[in-house]
Amino acid sequence: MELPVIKHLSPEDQELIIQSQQKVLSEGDEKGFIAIEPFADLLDKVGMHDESRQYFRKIIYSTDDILTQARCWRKIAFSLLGQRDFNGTAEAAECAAALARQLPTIDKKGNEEYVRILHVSANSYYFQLKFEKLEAIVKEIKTVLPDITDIELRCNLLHAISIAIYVKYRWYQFPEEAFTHLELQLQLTSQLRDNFQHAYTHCIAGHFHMFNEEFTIAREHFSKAIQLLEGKNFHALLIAYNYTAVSYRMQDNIPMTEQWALLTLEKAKQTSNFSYVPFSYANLAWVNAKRNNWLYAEDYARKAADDWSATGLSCSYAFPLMNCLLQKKEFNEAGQLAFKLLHPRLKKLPDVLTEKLRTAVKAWVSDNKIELGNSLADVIDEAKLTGYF
Amino acid sequence: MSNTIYILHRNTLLAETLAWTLHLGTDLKTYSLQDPQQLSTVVERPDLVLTEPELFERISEKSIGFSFPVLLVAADPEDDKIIEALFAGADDIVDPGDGPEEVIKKTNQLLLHKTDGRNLLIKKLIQQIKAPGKGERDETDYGLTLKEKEILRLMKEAQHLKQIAQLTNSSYETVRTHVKHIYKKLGVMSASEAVIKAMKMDL
Repeated sequence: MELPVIKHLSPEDQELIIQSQQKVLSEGDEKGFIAIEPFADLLDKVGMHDESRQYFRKIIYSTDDILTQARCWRKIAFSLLGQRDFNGTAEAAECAAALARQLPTIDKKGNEEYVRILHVSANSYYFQLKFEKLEAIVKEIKTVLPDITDIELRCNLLHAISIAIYVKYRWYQFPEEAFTHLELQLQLTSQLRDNFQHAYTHCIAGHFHMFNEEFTIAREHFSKAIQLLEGKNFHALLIAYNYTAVSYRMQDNIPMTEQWALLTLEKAKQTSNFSYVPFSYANLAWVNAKRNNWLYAEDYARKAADDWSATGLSCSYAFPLMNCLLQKKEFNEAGQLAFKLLHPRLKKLPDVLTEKLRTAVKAWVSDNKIELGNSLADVIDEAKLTGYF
Repeated sequence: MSNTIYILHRNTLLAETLAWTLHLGTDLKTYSLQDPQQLSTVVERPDLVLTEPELFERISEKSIGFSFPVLLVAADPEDDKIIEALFAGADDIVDPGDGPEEVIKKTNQLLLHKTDGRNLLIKKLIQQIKAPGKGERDETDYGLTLKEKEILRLMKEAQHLKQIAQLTNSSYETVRTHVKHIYKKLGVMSASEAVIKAMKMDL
């Protein structure tokens, strides 16, 4: 059993991994096999997703126990989700659900496992923008939630409900009920021994406040998450880093946006959490566009567009790219971007900005170049006024 | 099971954008094509085709066998070619200028068979009839045969050519031939013009 490369981890995490691996090696075959799962869990938790999945697969192919197989498939799904491999997540979650359905309905552990699978499936549908499927899963979650006593599992399910709220309001002007729900979630996660869930909930709370344009409160939540994570769990840490950058960007703070975007980019590459690479590029595209460095801005925006995986927030790269295209008088592609920004699965934009995008789309479809150029310039002006560019 | 949609449009950028629009967040399989002939060679049978009126004409001319619903993509919904295409069997129209939401709505309606192209056609024809200078009564019958008059009457009722073929126990190609003769005798170039004349003739 070869030890994975762990040099980039904190000394404490390196120690934990070495101890866990030694446990696997020191036990006999049977017990050693049991010890592999916590070892794989640990690898996944510190962001070593590829390595963790190898061990989960090893367990799946070495056991006939359906519950263990279902659990490991679910963990694989969650690990893939951490790396934003949504097709892989969906496939693994389906394997897990199919196995869990084979378990007797009176089996408490089996039922619990099924609920955990619902949680990972909800996440997968969220990132794939499959709103109807997410809604169906959340409906199922709401029916089972009152019977769940395990706090960690309850927290997971509340998290699934939170992401359904994101989708319902399309990341725009959340109502009071969203914050009441988050308070409950924060309170519950604070009872857990492991800080990760609590930190993650602070990230979500920051997200909600940020999209309600309460930037200072949003950054307080991100900062709390960073503090709680103590440099562990890069996936959650990167959420906090990235959205701190976005919050500064929405306030037109170029140096701070750049600083946090560069930090996110560096950590995302270092820890193979590649989903935050395109988002960082989008933020750097904005920084460069603001400084009128059009060549760099376009380069970053295109890199972001090519690998975009951050749900419905594609406006992050679209507005800087649109401005670059306007500079080059490439109206056709800019018009296409305007059309895409109106997609009902993407982030809802302010009404005036939406109207201006509609005018641009009309001009694009009817091939009226002069009207298109003028209306796109209007779009950019409005986006600047409303913090989207 | 996911539906398969083909987008047939000469504007590659628009075709790709429409495919992206329908695919995002759904299980729909979307493909963009440039040539109507490609439709006859596709492996997966289409559940819906989105196309422009000009290319739809070529689909029906080549008798590719369009048993699938067709949504016309047209920036100018008042274009005469649209009425022609609706007569020839297209099911509905969408203007992409109305944005992605409208494209998705119309697509879903057609996938669920919830549209009535015939009503749409009648509405468009009434609009044309109401247009200035088109209201005078015409007493001539232009030497139309009984069969041609019957077909013209059915066209006036906004029946598609496929339906007219069924109602008159004729083949689609025979109906098309009759329609060509009607155009020639009436001195018109399109189905909408023919129907307007039929209305003036009080058929």
